[in-house]
Amino acid sequence: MNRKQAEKETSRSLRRSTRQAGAFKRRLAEELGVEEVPRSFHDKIQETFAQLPDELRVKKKPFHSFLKGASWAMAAAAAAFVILLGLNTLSPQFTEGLPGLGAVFTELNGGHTSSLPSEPSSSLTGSNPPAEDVYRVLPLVDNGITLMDASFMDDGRLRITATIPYMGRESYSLLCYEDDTLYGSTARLAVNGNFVYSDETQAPSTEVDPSEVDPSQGSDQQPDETKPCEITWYFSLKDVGDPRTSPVILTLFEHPISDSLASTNRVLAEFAIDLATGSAKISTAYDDEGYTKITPQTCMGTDHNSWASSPYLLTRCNPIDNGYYRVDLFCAQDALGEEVGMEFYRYSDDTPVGSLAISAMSELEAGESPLVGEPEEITQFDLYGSWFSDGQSFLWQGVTDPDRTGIVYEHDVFLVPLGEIYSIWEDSAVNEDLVDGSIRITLTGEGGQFLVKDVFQTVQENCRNAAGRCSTSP
Amino acid sequence: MRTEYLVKKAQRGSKDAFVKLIESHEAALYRVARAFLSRKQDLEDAVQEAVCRAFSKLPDLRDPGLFDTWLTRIMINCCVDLQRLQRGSFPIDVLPVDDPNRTWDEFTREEESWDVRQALSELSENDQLILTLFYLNELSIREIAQILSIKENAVKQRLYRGRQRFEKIYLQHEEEGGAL
Repeated sequence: MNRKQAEKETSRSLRRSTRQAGAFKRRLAEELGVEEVPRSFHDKIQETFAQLPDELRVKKKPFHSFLKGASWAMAAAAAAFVILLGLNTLSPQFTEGLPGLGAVFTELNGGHTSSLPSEPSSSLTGSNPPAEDVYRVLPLVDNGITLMDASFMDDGRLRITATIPYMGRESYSLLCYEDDTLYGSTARLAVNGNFVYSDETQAPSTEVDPSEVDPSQGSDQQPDETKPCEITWYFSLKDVGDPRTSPVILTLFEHPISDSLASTNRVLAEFAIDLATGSAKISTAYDDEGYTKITPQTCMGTDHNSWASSPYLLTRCNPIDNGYYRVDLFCAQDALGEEVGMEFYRYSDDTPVGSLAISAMSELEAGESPLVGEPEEITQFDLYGSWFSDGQSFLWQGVTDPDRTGIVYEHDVFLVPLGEIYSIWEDSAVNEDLVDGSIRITLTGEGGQFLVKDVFQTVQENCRNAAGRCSTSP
Repeated sequence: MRTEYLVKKAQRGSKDAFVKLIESHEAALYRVARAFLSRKQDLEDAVQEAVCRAFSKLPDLRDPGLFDTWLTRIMINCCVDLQRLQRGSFPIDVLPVDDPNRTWDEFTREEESWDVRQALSELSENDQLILTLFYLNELSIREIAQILSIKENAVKQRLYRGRQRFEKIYLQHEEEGGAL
């Protein structure tokens, strides 16, 4: 068999194997080289074991302890009562004279005394507030998200409504954008051990009609910031059993389920809902699945820090692979038409002492950079770049924020060859110079004027501002 | 069943049970980590963190039957966290070190294997992860959907697409190799 024949045979073999799951599995394991765990990996685990304490923390189960104690107490009380009943037949005067229980025996023996005073009926509005871990009548708030209503519709679907307070435009990045349209947070319902995802999401009710946006006010026009954003999810609950028999768990995630990087999802809020009574409590079942809940602190480190009123909004200035920096720029409608460029400036005592235009920009746009090829390749550099995943152009994607402002942002992704810059300015010390501002990436207009003087600093400020607003947790 | 027994035992404080649990999932952890990370040091750092997190969090796991998916998610979280941290650094030790003691057979075998690994590395992380979870870690479509919080149909689609891409990339490499 010559080489070409062998190659054809390999190809045919591969085609066959990918069509047969079993064969594919074996081949995948073999080719990935993950059939055997490397010694170093195994050793590291063993080394970690040695560093761990000798015992795991044992979680106290107060409820179980309570039940156990209560069972013993009830058994003892029952035994004592049986003995007293026996005594009552022998000496009713004795049992009727017992403090506390005497009235019960008097009643049993012929009702000489009045009925026992009844306990005051409990009420939701009573003086004793319900404990934290009990079901409450809606609405219920978790992590700033208010569960308003859970009810069945005529067609049998379950409708759940929640509101998210408006915390500044940045908070909207906690919601989901898909195909440039805000459609709400991803909602998942656990019913009798089955997961059901919402099959239809109603747009937030506070949507601003774009026709009402006054173009003359540009991006400065603000929405009604006091009005919460209401989101409604609909769930089809066929084939999952009766959802009223046990509480259902509603989990709200930060990303859409169609996001190509769902593995990084975090939980925004979670509720256990008793559909039989229409009450709910905050749930932490997500913890069992290994999810974490997003907090203002975790938000700080994410890209969830976006929409601002500036016509030039910078949301990211991060190093990526191969010595490139990635800068994400959103240009509002009123800034369109301005040819935006980026330059590096070297500073000494806050005075620019040298500049370098990023001449590779046009090459990047043309897709001629060694880094920038097919869109699918770019996804490997970017954990969050869902806009790449559709195989569209990597530059100039329109992103709309219609629900509040009706403003269209155009999204630029600049991949800056930082490594090249540093090779020109050899004495530069990469990240530190960006942090202390001795080197600044600057956004410039057509005439060379500064649009954003210090990209890095601006991104940091955007992040800080967003972190302060991305959660309403006290 | 044995896993559930060990989980319950570990939750009562037994470190031995915890060690057995992790050891029985060692290969699964490695495969998940490999879907995200390639450097030896990163793999070791990620698994160390995952084992520590599992150790401290296991007492809180309410359903022992969910241990497999729970542990997988912890491993994924550790890998993603590590990647996030590394966005500010540029590793310099990524180039392979040539071993002069390799035999010719070993060399050619490794080169062939590298071709396919390169083909796989060109798949997106998620496609790699789903292929790994399904085919190698033998998690069900439902479990994968649960781990990644996506619909089961989406898992099926990605499995299909991942296999297709793998096939396409691999064949492309084969053709390029043949043309040289």
